[in-house]
Amino acid sequence: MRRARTAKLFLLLALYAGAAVLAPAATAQEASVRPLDLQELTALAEHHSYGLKAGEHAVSAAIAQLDEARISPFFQFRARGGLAWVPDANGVSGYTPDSYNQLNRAFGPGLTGSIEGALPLWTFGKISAARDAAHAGVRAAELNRELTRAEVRFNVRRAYFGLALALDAKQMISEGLPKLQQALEQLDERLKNREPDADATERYRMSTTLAEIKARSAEVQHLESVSLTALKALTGLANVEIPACPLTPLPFVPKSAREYQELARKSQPMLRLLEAAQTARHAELDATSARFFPDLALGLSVESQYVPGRTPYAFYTPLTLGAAIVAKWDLDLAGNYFRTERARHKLLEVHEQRSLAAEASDVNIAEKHAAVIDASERVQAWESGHRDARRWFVTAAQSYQLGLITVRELIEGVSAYFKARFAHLQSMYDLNTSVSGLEQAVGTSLLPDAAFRQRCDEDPDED
Amino acid sequence: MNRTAQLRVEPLEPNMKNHPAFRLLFATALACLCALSWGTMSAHAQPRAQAFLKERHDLVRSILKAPAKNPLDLQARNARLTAVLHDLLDYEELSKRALQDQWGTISPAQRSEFVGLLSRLVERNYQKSLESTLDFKIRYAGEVPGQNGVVVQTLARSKTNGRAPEVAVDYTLVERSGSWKVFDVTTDGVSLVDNYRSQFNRIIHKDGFDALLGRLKKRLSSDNDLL
Repeated sequence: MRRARTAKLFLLLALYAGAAVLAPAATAQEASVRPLDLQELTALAEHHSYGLKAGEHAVSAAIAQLDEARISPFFQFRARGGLAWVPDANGVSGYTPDSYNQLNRAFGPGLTGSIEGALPLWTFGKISAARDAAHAGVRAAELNRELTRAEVRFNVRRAYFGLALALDAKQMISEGLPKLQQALEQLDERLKNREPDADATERYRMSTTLAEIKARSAEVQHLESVSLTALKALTGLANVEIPACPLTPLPFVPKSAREYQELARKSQPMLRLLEAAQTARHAELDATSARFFPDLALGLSVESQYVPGRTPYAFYTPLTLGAAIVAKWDLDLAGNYFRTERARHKLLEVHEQRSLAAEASDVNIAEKHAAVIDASERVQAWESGHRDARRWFVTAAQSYQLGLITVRELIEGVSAYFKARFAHLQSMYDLNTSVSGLEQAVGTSLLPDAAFRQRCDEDPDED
Repeated sequence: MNRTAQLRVEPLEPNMKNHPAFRLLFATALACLCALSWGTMSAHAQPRAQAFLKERHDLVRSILKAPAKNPLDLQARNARLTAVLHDLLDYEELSKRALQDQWGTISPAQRSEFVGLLSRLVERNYQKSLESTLDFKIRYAGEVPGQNGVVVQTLARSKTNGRAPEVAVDYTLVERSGSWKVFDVTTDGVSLVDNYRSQFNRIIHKDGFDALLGRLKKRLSSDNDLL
C-alpha cells in the first residue's frame, strides 16, 4: 500500500512538473469559454500534445523510409556528363594532320555523357529483408504514437477526476465551514454568559474539528490547483472549466485479471512494439545472412560523346549501348559470419526482452486490477455508508429543529454524513483513476469513450 | 505536495478514525433538505395529487419572487406564505401519526397544545429556509399509491451549485373534503412522521409527555439555531 502511495505521489509530482514546463505554452492559447467535459478535454489534449505531434512525424518518416526501401533497389543507376573546350581532332586513327602544338589548333566544345547501372535480378533476400525492416519501423513508430496517446489520455483523466474530487470536496466544505464557525461563536457566547448547559469540553472538540476542516480545505485547494494546472498544460488552454456535476463512478464491471492479461498480449502497445522490434531484428539477420551470397543483376549502360573537328570514324564512337548479367559478391565472408552472429543475438535479445515485458505486463495488470477491485468494493461500501449517513443527517436535522436533540448530536450526525460523503468521493476518484490505469496497462478501451464524458444529464421538465 | 498526495492517495476515512469528527454542518445542504421538506409543496391533479403539489409549489415560488422592499412587505409576504403552507400541511394528522402510541392517552388540551407547538416550530423553520427553495430545480417524478395516501415523488437539484447532491423528497398526501393535505414528507428515505415518532417515543418513555412539551416550548423560545 505504501509503495502504491509512493507511486501515486511520484506520478502526481511528474504531472505537476510536466505541467509547470508546459504552462508557458498554454498561456498563449485561447481561453476556454464554456465548461468542457472529459471527452472534450481528452480530444483537445490529443490535438495539443507535442508528444503526439512528434509521433506523427516519426510515423511519416518511417513511411518514407519504407517507400525508399521499396523503390530504391530498382533505381541504382548513375549518370555522368562532361563539357570541355578542347582542340579539334582531324584525320583517322593512323594519321592526323593536326599539329603537335595544340595551341595552334582550332578549339571548340567537347561533350561526353553516360548512364550506367543495374537492375537487381536475384539478391538472395536482401531487398525483401530491407523492406521488412522498414515495415517494422513503421509499425514501431505507430505503436510509439499509441503509447504516447494512452499516456496523454491517462494524464487528462487523472487530472480531470482529481479536479472533480477537489471541487466536490470544496463545495462540501464551503457548506459546512461557516456553520461550524457560527456554532463555535454561539458556544463561546454561551460560555461567556456562563449558561449552565454550555460545555467547555464541547468547545475544544468543536475547535479541533474546525482546525481539521481548515487543514483539509488547504489540501483540497492544493489538489484543485495541481489538477487545473495539469489540465491547462495538457490541453493548451489558458482557462479550463469542467461541468458542475457531482463526480460519478465509471460504469465498469471488472472481469478476471487473467482476461485482461490475455487481452494485453494482443493489444498492449509496448508488447507489440517489441514484436515489431523482433521483426526488424529478424529482417536484419536475413539481410546479413544473404550477404554470404552474391547479388545478380542486369547491368545496363549508355554512353555518348562529341569532339570538334573532322573525325568521321575511329577516334570515337558517338553512342555506345551495353547490357550484361553481372554479379557482385562481397568476399568478406569471415567478417560477415560475425555480423550474422551479432544479428542473431540481437534477435534473441529482443525475444527475451519481449518475454520479460510480457511478464512485467502481467504483474502490472494484476496490480492495476487489484486497485480496481479495491476501489470498486470501497465505492459499493461507501454508497451504502453515504446513504445511511445522509439519513442520519436528515434525521438529526429534523430532530434538532424541534429541539429533540442537542447541538452535539446534530454535529455528530452531520459530521458522519460529511465524512461518509468524502470517503465516497475519494473511493469514486480511486475507482475512476484505477480503471483508467488498467485501460492504459491493457492497451485497449475497456469502456466506450462516452462513459468517460462525466457531464450532467439535463432534465427537460425541470422548473 | 505531500498533503495533496495524502489526500489523493488515502481516503480521509483512515486518517479520521481517531478524531472526533470531520464536523461539518451544513448550510446549503442542510438548508436545502429542510427547505425542501416544507417549502416545495403545491395544489390539484392529473395525476391529481402531483398537480396539486405543483400548483402550490408554483404559488409559493411566485410569492417568494415578489419583491419585498421594506419590512412591512416582508411581513405581508411571510404571512401569505404561512397561510399557504398552513393550508397545505395537516398538522393534526402529522401529530396524530407521530404520537401514534400516546395520542389516545393524552387529553384534548394536551393534543391541542402539542399540535400548536409543532405547527409553530415547523412554520418557523420553513420561514427561515424558504428563500433557498428558489435555488432549486424541482422535478416531479410521478405519484404512487402509498400505505396511508398518495405519495408524490420529487427530486430537487441545486441551480446554483451543480455539485450539490440531488435530494429525493416524497410527499404523502390524503384527500379530505375535495382538498389535498400533506401529512408526511420523506427526505432521502427518512420519513418525517417516522422520525418524529421515534424521537417522541424516546423522550416520552424516558421523561414523560410533559417533558416533550417542555422541549418543544424551549426550542420555540430559543433563537440559538444552526439550521
